[in-house]
Parts: sequence; structure tokens; C-alpha cells
Amino acid sequence: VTWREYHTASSRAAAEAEVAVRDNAGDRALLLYRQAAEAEEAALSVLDPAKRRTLGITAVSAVALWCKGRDYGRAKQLVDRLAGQDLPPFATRQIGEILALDEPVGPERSRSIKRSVRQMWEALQRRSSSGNAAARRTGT
Amino acid sequence: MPRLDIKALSERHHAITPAIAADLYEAACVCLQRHHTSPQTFDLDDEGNTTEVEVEWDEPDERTLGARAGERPTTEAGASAIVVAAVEHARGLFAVARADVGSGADYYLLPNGVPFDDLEEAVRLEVSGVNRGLARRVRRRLSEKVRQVRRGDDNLPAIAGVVGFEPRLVVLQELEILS
Repeated sequence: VTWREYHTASSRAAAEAEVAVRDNAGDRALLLYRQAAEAEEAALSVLDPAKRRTLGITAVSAVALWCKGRDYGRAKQLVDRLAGQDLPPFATRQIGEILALDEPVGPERSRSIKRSVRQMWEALQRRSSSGNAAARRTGT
Repeated sequence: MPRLDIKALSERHHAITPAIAADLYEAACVCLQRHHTSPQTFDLDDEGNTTEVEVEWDEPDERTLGARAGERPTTEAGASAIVVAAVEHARGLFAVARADVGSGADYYLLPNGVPFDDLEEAVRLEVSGVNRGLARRVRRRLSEKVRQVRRGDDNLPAIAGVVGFEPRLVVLQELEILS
């Protein structure tokens, strides 16, 4: 299965989820967002990492979809995996913004997990930035 | 006069499913009907090159107007229908993919018939809609969107498109390729 096939499946599920949100079918929307996120993660896994723009767009989309599906446990796993990848700067920034979005509804436990994912991402970014700075200083 | 076909987007745009096309079209009908009756002539300003296009829609019933009373989400969805049809008309570009971002989704465009296996060369479309106000408000919103896209640090190309429903104006601006 190719990136395009997985991404198309993800887009379709996400689009259906949007319609479900508008129809006030909250549970169905969550399920569809999670299906979309699963497919987007699969798209990431088959993508040639040299395709950095596509990698960044797909990564942002996958994180956003897990958050929209309120599965912050899976979002956390994905963020952990992405931290080891060479994402383009726009993707790093957008993932930070998604994780910083307020979560006005949902149980406190979910909001708490999301906060911890955001903190983890911020810490990984700080570590990455200081590593890059050190590499620049030593010329490595 | 050429017509913007906002109704059957899913037949031409791979990224827009029939369900989403119906949703966007319904929203556009509500946005248009707030100020006008069908059909209307819109100015389509593509980088200063302005042409007139006709926009035709079905009058929404009371139930639809009530269900779509939320101004912001309806304007956003309605704007997507108009702007996607406008870039198709003006540039021959079609939505091949969508990607979720914070609260919404971005569309990615390619010329018709170009096969896509990734989004490396696709054009990102940044959409916005203005429900009420004069043309200068629409142009001001375009400037804001352009700044937003540039600040985004994304590998361009990208197109920003804004529709003003009351002044009957669509403006498009392409952002230069930085990388």
C-alpha cells in the first residue's frame, strides 16, 4: 500500500468525521478521527523520508487527527517517534501549536495527558535545539 | 460569462468527497443567501487580473439556515467551496489532498491529470472568508493570510484565497517559492 492510498483513506475518514461533528454525532466523529489518524500514521511509515515536505505535512496531520480523536496516548507515542526524525521547521512549529491548543471539553484526565504530551514535545525540541547549537559550535 | 461551479466539487477534486462537497456547497448557499439572491456576478481578482464570474446557488430552506446559523464555521466552509472553485477556474488547479492542521484542514493543489505520489510539488491553498463588509476588508484579510503563510516557514508554493460574500469578491495571491 502506498503513501497516497493511506493518505487518501485518512482524508476520507477525516472528512466524514467533520460531517459527523456538524451532525452532533460526537462518538462517531471520534471513531472516524481515530481511523483517520491510524491511516495517516500508516502513510508516514511507508513514506520515503527524503520527501521532507510530505513528511512534515503528514506528521502534522497525524498528530492533529489523534488530538481531534482525543486519543492523547497515541498522540504521545507518535510525538515520541517523530522527535527522532528530521522534520522540517514548519512541521515542528505546527505540532507545537496543535499540542498547545486549548481543550475546552473532555475529562480532566485527557487534558492532563495532552499537557504532558505538549511538555514532552517542548522538552524534545529544546534538547534538539541545544544539540544543534552545540554541533554548530563544534563544527560537527 | 463564465460560471464558478461550486456544486459538484467532488466530481473534479480528488480531495473532496461527495459528503464534504455537499457540506461545503450547503454552507456556501447559506453564506451567499445572507446577502444576495441567486445568481450573482462576482469579481475574481487573481493577482490584480480581475474577471467577472457568475455564481449560482440553491436557496437554502429555513431548516438549513437554522442548522448553519453559526457564522464562523459556516463562513469557513462556504469560503472553501468558493475559493477551491476559483483557483480551479483561474489557475486550472485541483485539490488532490487535504491535511489536518490545528482546527481545520489545508488543501493541496495540482494541475489536472498530474499524478501525485507525494506533496513535494503541490501548491498549498490557504482559504479564508469574510461574511460582511466592503472589498477593502477582503483585501486586508488577504494580506493577513499572506503574512500568516509566510510566517508558517513552510516550503512554498502556496496560494492564499479570500472570498467576501457581501461585496461579491474573490481575491487570490500566490506566494513566491522560497526553497
